[in-house]
Amino acid sequence: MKKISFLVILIAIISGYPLSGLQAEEPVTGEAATAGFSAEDLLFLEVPVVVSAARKEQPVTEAPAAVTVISAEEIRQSGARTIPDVLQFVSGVDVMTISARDQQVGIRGFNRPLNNKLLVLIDGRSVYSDIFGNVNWSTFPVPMEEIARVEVIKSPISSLYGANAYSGVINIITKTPKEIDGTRVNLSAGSRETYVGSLLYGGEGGRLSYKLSAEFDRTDEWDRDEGAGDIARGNFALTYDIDPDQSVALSGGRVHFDDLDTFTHELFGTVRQKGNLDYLQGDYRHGGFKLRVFRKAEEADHRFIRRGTADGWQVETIDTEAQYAFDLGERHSLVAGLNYRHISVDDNIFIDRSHSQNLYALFLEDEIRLGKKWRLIAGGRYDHHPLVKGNFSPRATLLYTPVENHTFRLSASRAYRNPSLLESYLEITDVVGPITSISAGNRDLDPEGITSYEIGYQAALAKRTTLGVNLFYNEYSDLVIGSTTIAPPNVITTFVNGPDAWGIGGELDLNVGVTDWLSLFANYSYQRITDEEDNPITLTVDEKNRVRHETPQHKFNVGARLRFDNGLTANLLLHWADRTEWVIPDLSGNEYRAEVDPYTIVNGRVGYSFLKDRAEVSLYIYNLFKDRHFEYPPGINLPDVSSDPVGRKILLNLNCRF
Amino acid sequence: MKKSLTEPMRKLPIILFICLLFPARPAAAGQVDVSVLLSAEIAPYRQASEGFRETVEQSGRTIRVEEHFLKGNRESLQQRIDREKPRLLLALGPEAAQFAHASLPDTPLVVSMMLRPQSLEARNATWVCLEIPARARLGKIRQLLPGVRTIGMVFSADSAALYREIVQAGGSLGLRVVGLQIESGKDLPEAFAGIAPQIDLFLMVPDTKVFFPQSIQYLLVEALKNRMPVVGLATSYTRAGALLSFEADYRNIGRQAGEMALRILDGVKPASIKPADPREIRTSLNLVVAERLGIRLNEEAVLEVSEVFR
Repeated sequence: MKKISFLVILIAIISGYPLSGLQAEEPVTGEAATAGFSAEDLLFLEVPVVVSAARKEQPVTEAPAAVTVISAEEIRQSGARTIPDVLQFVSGVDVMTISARDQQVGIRGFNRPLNNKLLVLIDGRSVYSDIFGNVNWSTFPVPMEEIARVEVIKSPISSLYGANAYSGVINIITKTPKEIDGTRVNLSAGSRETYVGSLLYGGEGGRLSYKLSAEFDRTDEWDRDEGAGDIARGNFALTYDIDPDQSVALSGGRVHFDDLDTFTHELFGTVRQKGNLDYLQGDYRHGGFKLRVFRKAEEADHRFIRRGTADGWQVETIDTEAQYAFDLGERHSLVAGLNYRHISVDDNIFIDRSHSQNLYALFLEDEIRLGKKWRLIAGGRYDHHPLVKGNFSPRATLLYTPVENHTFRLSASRAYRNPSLLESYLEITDVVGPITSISAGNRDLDPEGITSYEIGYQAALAKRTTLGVNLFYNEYSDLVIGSTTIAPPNVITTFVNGPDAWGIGGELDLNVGVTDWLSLFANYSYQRITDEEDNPITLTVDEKNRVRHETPQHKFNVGARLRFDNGLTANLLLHWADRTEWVIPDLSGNEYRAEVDPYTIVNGRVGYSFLKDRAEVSLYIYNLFKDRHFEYPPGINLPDVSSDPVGRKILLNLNCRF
Repeated sequence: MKKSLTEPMRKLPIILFICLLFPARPAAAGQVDVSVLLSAEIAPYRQASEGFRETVEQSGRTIRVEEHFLKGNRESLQQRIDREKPRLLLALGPEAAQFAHASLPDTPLVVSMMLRPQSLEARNATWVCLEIPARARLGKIRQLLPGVRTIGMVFSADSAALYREIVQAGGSLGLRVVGLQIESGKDLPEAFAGIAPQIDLFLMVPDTKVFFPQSIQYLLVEALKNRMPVVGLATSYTRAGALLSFEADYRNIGRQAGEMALRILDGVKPASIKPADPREIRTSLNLVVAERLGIRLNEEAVLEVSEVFR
C-alpha cells in the first residue's frame, strides 16, 4: 500500500506539472486539426496499416480479431530490452519472468514454463521450438532496434496460421532497409552487469535494397552474481525488385548463445545451453502471389546440472508456404494457400531416437462485403499431422460499422495445438537414490482443442481517444497434462489428455491523447479458467470450485508518455498482476501447492535527443520501486529448480544514427 | 554481493566518451551568412535542409550556415538570429516562414516547404513551392491511368482556388473534373458518397477543413470498399491504401532553395528571382490496391514510378 500511495502522488505530480512539449501524434477531429495543424502537416502524416489478422493490410479498427499494435516508437520509449517486457503492458497478455533469460508469454491464460500455446512469427516465419512447442524469447534472432512493429492477435486463429496459433499470434515485423535508412548504433550498460550493443545498417541501390544487423547481449541473473549467458545475433536481408510487380528476397541470420539457463522445469532441473540457431529464408512475390521457403536449424549442447550430464541436440525445420490473394466479383476478397513443413530431430537426451515429421496444410479465407456497414470473414484450414492425422480449424467473424470509427465484432473459431516432439517421443530415465524416475512421451495423444466465442468493440472517439472492449468465452478440450504413476521403485511420468475446461474473460483498453505532449493509457484484463470435472492430477488448486489459478485472474496497466519541445521524453508505466497458485510435483510423485503473491512493477524512462535527433541518451529503470517478487514459485521440494526473484535494473542507453 | 545504485553510473564515462566521437556543431561566432529556420524536427524538413547544405557545399564557397528549430521561446530565437545577423534567411515550412516574415521583414528570405508561400505577401522574398502544379499532377495521372476520364474532388473554401486550377488543367488534358464544396470534414462521408458514382478516380487535396487523420482513414477504407481509386497526398497514403500519390522530392526542394540563396548572396534581389515549383516529383504506387480494384496501368509509365507497394 505504501508503494502504491507513493505512486499515486507521482502520477498526480506529473499529470499536473505545467510542461510544454510536442507530442508527435495525430490530431483527432477536424476542429482540432485546424487549430495549429497546417495543410503541410497533412503531407507528413503516417496512416497506420495492419497486416496480420486477415493476412492483408487494413486499418486496425477494421481488423477481424482482437489486435493490439505496438509501434517501434512505443518500444523505444518504453526502454524495454526484451519483447516480453514490452508485451507485459498489453491487455490479455500474461508475462512471467522466471529468470533473467527465461520469460514466458501467454495470451488469456495457460502461461507456464515452456508455454506451448502461442504462435510467434518474425516477418511470417515461425520461431517456436518444434521440440517443446515453446518460444525461447532470449534467443530471439532480431535486435529490439530492428523491430518496426509488434502485432498481438488475442484470439485463436489456426484457420490462417495453423497449429500452435492456439491462444493467439504475436507477429513481429522488422524494419525495411528504407526505414533503417543509414547506420544506427545502440549501446546500453547498466546494473546486473548488463551490456548490450547493436548495429543496424540499411541502404538501397537501384533495384536492390539491403540491411544488416548485429547485437551482443550480456547480463547477470536477477538474484545471483552469476552470468545469465551471453547472446550474439546477426542478420542480413536482400530484396531485389525484378519489376514493379515482382520481387525476390533472401534473408538469414544466426543467434549464438553461451551458458544460457533458458528454462527450468521440475522434470529436468536446471539446463544450461550453448549453441546456435540459424535460419535462411527466401521470399518471392508476384502480384497477389507469395511464396516463402525457410530453413531453421538449432544445434545446442545441454548440461543438466542435476544429473551432471551433458548432451546435444540438432533440430532442423524446413517450411514452405504459398499464398494467393485475389478478388472474386465485387463482394469477395479471398486468400488461399498451402503449407508444407518438415521437421527432423536427432536422438538426444530427451527423446528415444531420431525422428522426422511431415506436416501439410491447406487454408482459405473469404472476406465478404455485405453492404456498406457489414462484413463477414469466414475461413478454414485443414492440417495433417503424422500422429494425430487431420484437423480442421474454422473461423467466422462478423464486423458491423454503424458509423465511422465504431466497429462491433462477433467471432467464433476453433483451433488446435498438435503434440510437440517432446510430448510424443520423450524418453528420460533418472535414478535418484532408491527411486527410478521414468519420463515417457505418448504417441496416442489427441491435439489440444479450443473453441472460442468473442464479442468486441473498437472505437476512435473524439479528442484523440481510442476505446477497445473484448469479451470471450472459451471451451478447452483434451488439454495435455503430465500424469505420474507410482510403481515402486519406479515413478513413471507421461503425458495424457486431461479434463476439459472452460474460460471466460475480457479486456478493456483506453488510450487518451490529453495534450500535444502528454498521452495516457490504461487497460484491465480478467480471465478465469475452470476445469469441467475433478482433475485427477490435481492441477486445480481451488478444489471446491475447480478454478485454475496458474495465471492471474486480474491484471491492469496504466501509463503516461510525455514528449517535450526541447528533446526530452519520459515514460512511466505501471503493471499490476494478481496472485497465482500452482501445484508442482517432485520426482517422487509428491505434489505441493505454491503461491505467488500479487506484484507491482513500475518502469520509468527519461530520454534526451540531441544533434538534431541524430542521437539520444536515456535512463531506463525497470522495477523502479524495487518490488522484489517472484513471478513463478521458487523451488521447495526441488531446490535446484527455482525461479529468481525479480529485482530492479537500471540501464543507461545511447542511440545514434548517421 | 550487493551492487550499489551508482554501479551503472560507472559506465557513464564510456557512453559520454562515445558521444564525444560525434563532432558537435561549432558555436556561431560573429556573422552568419544564412540562418535556416525549420518549422519542426521532422524528416521532410531535415531532408530539405540537407539538400540546401549540399548545394552550398558544392558551390565551393565559404558560406556559414546556422540551423534553428522553431520551438520553445520565440523571443530567444529571435535574439539568437539577431546576434547572427544573417545575410539571408531560409524558412522551411509555414511556421518558419511566418516567423521570418514577421520578425525580420528586411532580411532577404527564401521560403521552401510551404504549399502557398505567396500568401505571405512578403516583398523581400522568393520561394520554392511545395505544391505540385495541377497540370503536372494530372499529366501523370493521364499517363499512368489512360482509362480515367472523370476525376472527383471534395474541397472547401480554403482550397477552392486549387479546385479551379485543377479544373482548368483537366480541361487542357481532356479530363473532366467534378467537385463538391463542403463546409467541414464532417460532411466528407456524404460528399464522397454523392460524388463517387460520377467519377473514375478521387483526388485528395491538402485542405485541413476537408481532411484530418480519422477522415483520411475512413476515406481510404470506403474507397476500397467502393472500388474507387484514390490519389493521396504523399507516399504514406499510398502505403496505407491510396492507389497512387505524388510528392515533391524534399531534398531536391532544398537544393533549389540553395541555388536561389547563392544568387541572393551574390547580390540579386529576392524579388528578381522567379519563384519555382518542385523540380522533382516522386510518384508512389500501390499494386495491391491496383489489383484489388482491377485497374489497368500503363506498364511503361509504371517503370518510372519512384516507389511501389505490393
